[in-house]
Order: sequence, then structure tokens, then C-alpha cells
Amino acid sequence: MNKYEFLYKLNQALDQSSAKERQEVVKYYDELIQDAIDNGESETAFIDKLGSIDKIVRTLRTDRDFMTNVKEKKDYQLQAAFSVTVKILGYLLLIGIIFVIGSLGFSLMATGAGMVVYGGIELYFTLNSIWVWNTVLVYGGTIALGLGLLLVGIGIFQWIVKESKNHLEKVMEFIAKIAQPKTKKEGESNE
Amino acid sequence: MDTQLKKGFLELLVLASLKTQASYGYRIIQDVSSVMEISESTLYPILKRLELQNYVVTYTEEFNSRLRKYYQITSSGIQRLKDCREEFQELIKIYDFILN
Repeated sequence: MNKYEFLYKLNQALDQSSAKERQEVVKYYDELIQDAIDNGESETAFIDKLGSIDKIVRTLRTDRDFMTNVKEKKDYQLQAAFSVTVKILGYLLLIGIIFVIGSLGFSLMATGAGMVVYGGIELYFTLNSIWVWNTVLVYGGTIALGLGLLLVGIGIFQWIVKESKNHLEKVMEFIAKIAQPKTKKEGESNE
Repeated sequence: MDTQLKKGFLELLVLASLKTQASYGYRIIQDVSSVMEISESTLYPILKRLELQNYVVTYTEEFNSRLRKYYQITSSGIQRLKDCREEFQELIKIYDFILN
């Protein structure tokens, strides 16, 4: 087999590799063969010495799997570190959101309750004196609105307590998970 | 020699062959094979690995009106070879234990 035949067959056998890798490998062998020829070696004898193309591709593939593993491991470590940071930020954000929604629920409840009480008192006094429909409607409306706000507030408050309980449990689990390897290591050193 | 053992040494041998000057595939094989047998197909992944670990950098230069890829050792590659000294002491200890 001469150089061109060899390189052509090698290129064909690398059909599963990326175009870049294919080009690189072919270039590598092209250069090797040329250097051998320049050094006075016989072209065909050198190519025979290179071994079968199947074997070359196999060696390449085994090593590429190894390199991908190394790379993936690195990526994984990076990902793990990244996800811890993201998780911590996420949980801080979550606590913030829980606080804001909780406050909203609470203020709605307080406003609603206030409106009901205020509307009730005003309506009571209005009904006990000379009253007009307009005034009764205003205070009645205030009570109804207050009741609505109170109910919405209670709903939000209940929902956030329930949800945050679930999420806070997750946060606690996460904190426990971070703390665990440390205690494990301490345990190992004690052994 | 055991293939696994050989694999680890080959990487260092290739690196050591670049210690004094940049070299290219064909010459690396000639230099290294005076100490340990190395095939053309094994060299390629070794060079790739050394490049990936930043122990070597590559550049192309014209030679005989064609392009030739050269491999040059980096400072971390040199450091890697320096670290061998300590490993060598460990290795002696291991072989001393195995043989005696």
C-alpha cells in the first residue's frame, strides 16, 4: 500500500470521528510517512510497520473515550460546584420570596380585618342614627371588601405556610447534605 | 514490561524527549524507541493527552516545502518532569520492597 492509498483508507475508517479529528489524524500519518521517506525508509515497508488501519482506529477510539472521561469529570466537578452556588442563591431567593408573599398575605389580612371592623362600627352608628342609603352602601361595601381582602389574605398566608414548609424541608435537607461529608471525614480520621 | 506500566512511562519519555528542543512525530518515535518500544499509533494519543494537559504546545513550521507539526514543552511540562524526581524515590522504595 502506498501513502495515498493508506491515507485514503484511514480517512474512510475514521468516518465516526469529527471532521477536525479526522483531518488531524490523517495529517499526523501523512507527516510521519513523509518524514520516514525523507529519512530514506521504504514507503511501503514503513506503512506495513504502522499496522492495520483497524487497529489504529481502535487505539484512537479507546484513548478518546479516556480523554472524554477526564474532560467530563472536570465538567462534572465544575457543574457540582456551580450547582451548589446556584442552589444557595436559589434558596436565598426562595426565602426572600416567601417573606414577601407572607408579608403580602399578612397585610391583606390586616387591611381586610381593619376594613371589616371599621365598616362594622361605622355602619352600627349610622344605622342607630338618621341614615341614608348612600352611607349604608359605602360602609356595607367597605365590610364586603374587607371580608374579601381578609379571605384572600388568609388564603395566601395558608398557601405560603404550606409551600414554604415543603421548600424549607428541602433547604434543611440540602444544608444537612453539605454538612454531612464534613462529619464523615471527621469520623474517618477518628477510626 | 507490563503494558499499564509502560503507558505511564511513555508519556514521561515523550515529554523528556522534548526537554532540550521542540520535536516532531517521527523524531520523537526515534528518540523514545532507543529506550522503550513505541509505535506510531500509540504516540498520537500520548501527544494529544500531553497537549490536553498543557504539558506541550504545538506549532507548524515549513520543512522541505511542506508543513511539519512541532511539539514544544511548556513550563508545566518541565515541572511535571521535575516532579518525577520525587516519584522516582517512591518507585525505588516499591521495587526494593518487591525484589527483597
